[in-house]
Amino acid sequence: MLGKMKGAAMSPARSDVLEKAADPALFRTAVRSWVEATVKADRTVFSGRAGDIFYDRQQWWMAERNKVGLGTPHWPEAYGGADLSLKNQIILAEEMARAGAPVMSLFTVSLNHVPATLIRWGTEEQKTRYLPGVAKGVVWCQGFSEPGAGSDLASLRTRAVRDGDSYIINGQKIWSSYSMFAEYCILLTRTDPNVKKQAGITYFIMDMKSKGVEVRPLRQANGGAGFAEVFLTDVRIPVENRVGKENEGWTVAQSTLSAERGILVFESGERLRYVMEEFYADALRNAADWLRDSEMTREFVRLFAEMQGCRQLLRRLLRENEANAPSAFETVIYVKIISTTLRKKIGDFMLRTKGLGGQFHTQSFDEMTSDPMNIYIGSFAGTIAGGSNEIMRNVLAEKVLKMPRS
Amino acid sequence: MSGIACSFGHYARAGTRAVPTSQRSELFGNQNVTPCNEDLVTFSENICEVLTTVCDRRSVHAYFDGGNDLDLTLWDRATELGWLGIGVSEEFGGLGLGPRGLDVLFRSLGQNVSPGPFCSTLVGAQWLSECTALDVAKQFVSAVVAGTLSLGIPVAPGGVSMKMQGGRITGESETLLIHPRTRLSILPVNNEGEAGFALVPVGAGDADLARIELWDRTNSIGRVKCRNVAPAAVIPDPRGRAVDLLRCYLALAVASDSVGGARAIADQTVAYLKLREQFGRPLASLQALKHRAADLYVAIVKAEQVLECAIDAADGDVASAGMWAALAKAAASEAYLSVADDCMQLHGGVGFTWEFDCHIYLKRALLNRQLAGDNRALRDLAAGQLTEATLAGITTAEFAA
Repeated sequence: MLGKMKGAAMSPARSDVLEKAADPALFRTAVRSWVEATVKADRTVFSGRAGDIFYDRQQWWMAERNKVGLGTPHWPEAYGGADLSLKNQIILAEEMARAGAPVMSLFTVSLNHVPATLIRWGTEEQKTRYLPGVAKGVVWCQGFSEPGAGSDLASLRTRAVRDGDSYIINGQKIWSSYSMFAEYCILLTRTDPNVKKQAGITYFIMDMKSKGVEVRPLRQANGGAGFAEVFLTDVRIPVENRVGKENEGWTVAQSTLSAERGILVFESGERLRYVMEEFYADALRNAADWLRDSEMTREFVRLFAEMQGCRQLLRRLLRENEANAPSAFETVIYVKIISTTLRKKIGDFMLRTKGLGGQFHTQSFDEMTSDPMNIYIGSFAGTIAGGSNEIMRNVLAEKVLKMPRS
Repeated sequence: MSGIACSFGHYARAGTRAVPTSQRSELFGNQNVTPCNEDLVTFSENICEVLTTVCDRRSVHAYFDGGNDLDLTLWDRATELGWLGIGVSEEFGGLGLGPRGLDVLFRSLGQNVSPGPFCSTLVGAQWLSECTALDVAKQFVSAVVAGTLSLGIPVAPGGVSMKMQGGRITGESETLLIHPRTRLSILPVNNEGEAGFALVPVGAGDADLARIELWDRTNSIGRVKCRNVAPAAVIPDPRGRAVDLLRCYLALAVASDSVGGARAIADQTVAYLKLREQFGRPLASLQALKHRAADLYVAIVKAEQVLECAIDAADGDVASAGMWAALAKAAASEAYLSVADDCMQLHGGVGFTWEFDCHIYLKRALLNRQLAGDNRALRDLAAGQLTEATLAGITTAEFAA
C-alpha cells in the first residue's frame, strides 16, 4: 500500500468543501453541512455495532475526511495536504467540535507530531514518502518515554548502534499511544552515552513491522487499552530513516513536541464548550435537581467562565504561534495547566450532579464523549501526559519567572 | 526590596504587541474590536511610567499613614494627562476608548494600589454618558474629563434605594465610593414607585457626606444623609437597564483593578523569593515554592482571560455583557485575594509587617471582593442570565462579533 504513495502528485481533487476555502463564511457552511451529514452516516454505520468499534470508526472517519480532501488539511499540497490557512483550520476544528464528531485520537501522532517533525527536519524523500500516507489512514505512534525516562525524557536509554548502512536498536518504550495499530513509530534513541544527556540522542522513523518489535498493550485507568509498551530487540533501522543528524535528535524532538501547542489543543477547548453548553441545556430540559442547589449553580457558572477564559487563552496562543511571538512559550504552559485541570473539574462536577447514577457503568454510543466518568478519569491523561503539570510548573518557575534551579 | 511593581500584564508583552488588532480580526472575524490596540499599548506604557514615579511604594505607604495627599496629586496628574477621558467618547472631550481603555487604566492603578476616586468617577461618567440625556451627560461628563468633578456611585448597584417624593430625596443611602472632592453622587432612588437614579450634590447643604474609615485606606466609602434634597437630575430606570449597566461597568473596573494588583504583588513576591536566602540558598530555588509561585500566575491568567471575555462582550455591546462582567469580577476578585493571601505567606515574617506592601494589596483585595456586589450574588445573577439565554436557544459562548 505504501509503495504507491511515493511522489508529490497525491493531493486529492479539490472537493466541494475545499473549493470554498477562499471565503471563510462559505467554507464554514460547506464544512458544517459535510460534518453534519457525516455524523449522521457515522451513527448509521456504528451505533448498533457490537464490540470495540474504536479502530474501525477512526479509520472510517479518516476515509470520509479524505473523500473531501480534509484528511490532512493543514499541510502543503505537495505532501498530500490541503494547505488550509490557519483561519480555515480553526473553522474545521470548531465545526468538528460543534457537531460532536469523534476526536481523531488514533491519528494524533500522524496528524500532528509527524508533520511538525518531518516538514521541518525530514529529507525530501522522507516527506514525500511518509506524509501522503497519513490521509490514507496510516497510523503512527511515538516512541519517546521509557520506564526510566518519563518527565526526565532526555535520560532515555534505548540504544542505537551504527552497523554499516543501518542502526541496531535495543531497549524499551512505554506509554506509546495506539502503537498496537501503528505502522510507523517516531523513535528517540541514545547513540552516545558519554556526553551530556541531551547531546547523545538520535531520532528515527521505525517501521513497526520490523523484526524485533514487540507491542504489549497496557490497560488504562478508564478501562481502554489505548497505549502500550514497545520492546525493541536487535531492531534494524536503515540510515535513511534517521531524522536529522546523529546525536541531534533532542533538537528534532522539540519540533515534535511543539505539535501539542497548536490546533490540537484548540479543538479540545472547543469541545469542552459544547460539552458544557449541552450539559446545561439538558439539565434545564430535564429540570435537574442540582439546578435548585445554588451552591451547585454558582460552581457551574464559575467553571463555565473558566472554560470560556480557556478558549480565549487558546485563541491568544494561536495568534502568538502565527506571529512567531516568543510569549507563546509562556502561554502554552498556561494552556496546558489550565485546560487539563479544567477538564478534570468539569468531569467531577458533572459526576456529582448524577449522584449514585454517575457510578453506573453504562456506555452507550451517544455517551462515549460526554460520560462524566470518562471525562473525569480520562482527564488524567491530560494532566500527566505531554509534560506532567508538575513539570509545567517547574518550567514556568524556571524559564518564565527565572527562579534558580536547585 | 523592589518598588511597587509596574510590569504590565500581557499588554506590554511581545505577543500582544506583535499582533495588531487588524490581524485579530482577520483570524477570528471579530469586526468590533477596538481599532487602537497599538494606541492602548502606548497609553498603558505612559500610564505605567507616570505611576512608577508619582505613585511609587514610598508615596503609597506615606498616603496609607496619612502623610501626603497622593490621591489629589495623582488626580491632578491624571487630569493633565487626559486619563479621565479615556473611556468616554469624543463629544465629551474624551478619547472614546470605552471598556478596553478603562481596563488599561484600572489595571495600572490596581498594580500600583493607587488611591483616588478613579473607579467611582470614571465608572460613573461612562455610565452617565450612555444613560442620560445628552445635555445632562455633557454637563457632568465634560466636568469629569476636565478634572473639576468627581463622582460617587453605589457600592453594589441593585441594592436598597432612597425614597424620593415630590421631587425631593430624604433618607440615608447605602454607602458610596467617595472622595474628599466628591461633589456629586449617583444615588439609587425610588421615585414615587418608579426605580431610577438621582444625581445629588453632596457634602454641602442638606446632603451630608460622612466618610467611613476602611481597612483599605487606598479607597474610601461614605454615607450620604439627605434631608429634603432636590437632585440635580433624575434618571428613570423602569426596565432596569441603567442599573445593569452601572453594575457591569463597576464589575469590570473591580476586575481590572484586581488582576493588576494580583500581578504586581505576585511579581514582587517572586523577586523577594530570589533575594531571600535561608539554609544557604535562595528560597526561589526550592521546588515547593516554585510550584506555589507558578500557581499564583496560573490563577492570575485564568482571571485575566475571563476578564478578556467580559471586555470583549462589553466592547461588542452583546446582550450577555452583564453576565460576563459579573463572572469576571467574581473570578478576578477571588484570584486577587488568593494571590495576595499567599504572597503574604510566601514573604514570611516581613510579609506581616506594615512596612512591606503585602498588607496593602491584601486589604485592597478584600475590599474588591465586596465591591459591585457579593460574588455569590453575582454568580446567581449570571446563572439566571445563562438560563434565560439557554432556554431561548442563544449561546453566550460566542466571542464578540
